[in-house]
Amino acid sequence: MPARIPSAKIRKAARILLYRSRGKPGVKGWELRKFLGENFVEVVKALNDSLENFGITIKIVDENGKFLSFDEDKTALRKALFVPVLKEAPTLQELKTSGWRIDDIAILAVSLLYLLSRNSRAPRKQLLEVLHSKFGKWRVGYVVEKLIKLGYLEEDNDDIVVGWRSRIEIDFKKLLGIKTE
Amino acid sequence: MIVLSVEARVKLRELLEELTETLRKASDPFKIDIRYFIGELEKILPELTDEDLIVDAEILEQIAEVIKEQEEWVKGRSSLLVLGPFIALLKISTLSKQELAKELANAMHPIIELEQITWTDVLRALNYLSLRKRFVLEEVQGQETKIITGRELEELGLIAKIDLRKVVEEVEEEIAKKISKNKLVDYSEIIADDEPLKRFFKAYAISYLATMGRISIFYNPLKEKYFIVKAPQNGEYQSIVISLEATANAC
Repeated sequence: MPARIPSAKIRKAARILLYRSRGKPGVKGWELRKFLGENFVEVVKALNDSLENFGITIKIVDENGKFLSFDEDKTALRKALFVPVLKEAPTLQELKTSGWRIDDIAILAVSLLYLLSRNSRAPRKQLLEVLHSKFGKWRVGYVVEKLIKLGYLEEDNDDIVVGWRSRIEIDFKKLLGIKTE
Repeated sequence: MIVLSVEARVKLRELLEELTETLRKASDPFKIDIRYFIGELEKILPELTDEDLIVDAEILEQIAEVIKEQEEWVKGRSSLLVLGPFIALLKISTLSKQELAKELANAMHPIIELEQITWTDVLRALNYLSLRKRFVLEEVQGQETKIITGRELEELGLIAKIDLRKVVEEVEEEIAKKISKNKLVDYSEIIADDEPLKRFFKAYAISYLATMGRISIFYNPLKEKYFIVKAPQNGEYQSIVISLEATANAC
C-alpha cells in the first residue's frame, strides 16, 4: 500500500509547479527533490491525482522531449522536467479567450505539419514560402518570430525545427490523424 | 531430483520477477531482451514439475505481451513514417485556416501557468525597495549637502573602475564571432569569468545589447540553458530575468 502523503506537501508541490513565470515553464526533478524531499515523485503523483479533477495532468519530459512515467528510474526523473498541462485539448474558443488569434494558431499548425513531413526540420526559407502561399506575407514573419520566442519553433542554423514547447504541448500523432490505439 | 526442482522453481520465480520489473520500468518494448528470457526458460524446462508449469506459462504470457507491444510500436512507427508526411502535406493544402486551427487545438495540451505574484516575490520586492532607500541622499539640517562625484563614488567603493563601453564592445564582438559560427551561443559561455564582478559586468553588457535590439536571448527549459541569438528583424520585446548564481553553477 502506498504511503500517505501529507496534504501540506501536496499544496507545496502545487505552489512550486503552478506558480511560474512565463519564460520558464516546468520544474526540474532535482528542484522538486530539493523542496519536497526524497519522496518527491510520490508527492507529485499525489498532486497529479488531485489535479485530475480539474482536468490538469503533470507531464514528465526528458532532455530529448520524450515523455516519462512516474514509475521511471529515479535518476532519470531527477533530470526530467515536470510540467502541468491541460489533460483535455481546449476548444478553439477557449484558445481565443486565452489570447491566441485564429491566424496564429493556423500558422503554427501549418509550420508543425510541414516540419513533421520533413523529419521535424526545414530550411527557414522553405517554411516561410509555404506559410506565405497559405497566409500571404502579412504577419507571417512576425508570428514565426513570436512562435520561436514562445518555444513552439526553434532556430538551428538556417533551419527551423520543432520547438521544446510543441514537443510538450502537441500530440503530433493526433495532429497528423494517426493513432496506434 | 527434488533438489533440482526446488532450484528450478526459485530460478523460475526470479525470472518472472525480473521480467515484470523490466516491463514496469521500460518505456520502449525493444529494451526487453526476449531472447534471453526464452533461453533461460529453455534451460529450466526439463527440470520443471507440472505445478511449476503454471509459472512457466505466466512468463510466456508476459513475453507474448512484450512481442505484441513491439508489433504495435513497429506498426505505429511505420504508419507515422510512411503516411505521416503525406497526410501532413495533404492537410496543409486542403484545410482552411479555421480547420487547421481546429486540428491543432484538438491535439493541444497547453502548459498551465498561473501568472500571479507569490508572497515570496512580494517580500523580495519590499526588500529591494527598502535597500534603495539607503542611497537616497537625505538633507540633514545644519549641514551643507553637495553632489558626489564619480571619483568619490569610486573611492568609496560604490562604483567599480571599469570602462563599461569597452566591456560592451568586447562582449558584442565575442558574441558576433561565436554567432557567425553556430548561429547561437550559450549565455553562460559568454559571461564566464573567474571574477564575479567581471561576470556581472558582462551580464550587464548582454542585457544592454538585448535592450538595444542588437541581440536576442531565449531560454530552453529542457536543456535548462539561455542562448544568445542574432536579433530578429521583427517581433515583440519581452523582459526576462536570468539568475547569475544559477548560470554560474551551470558553468
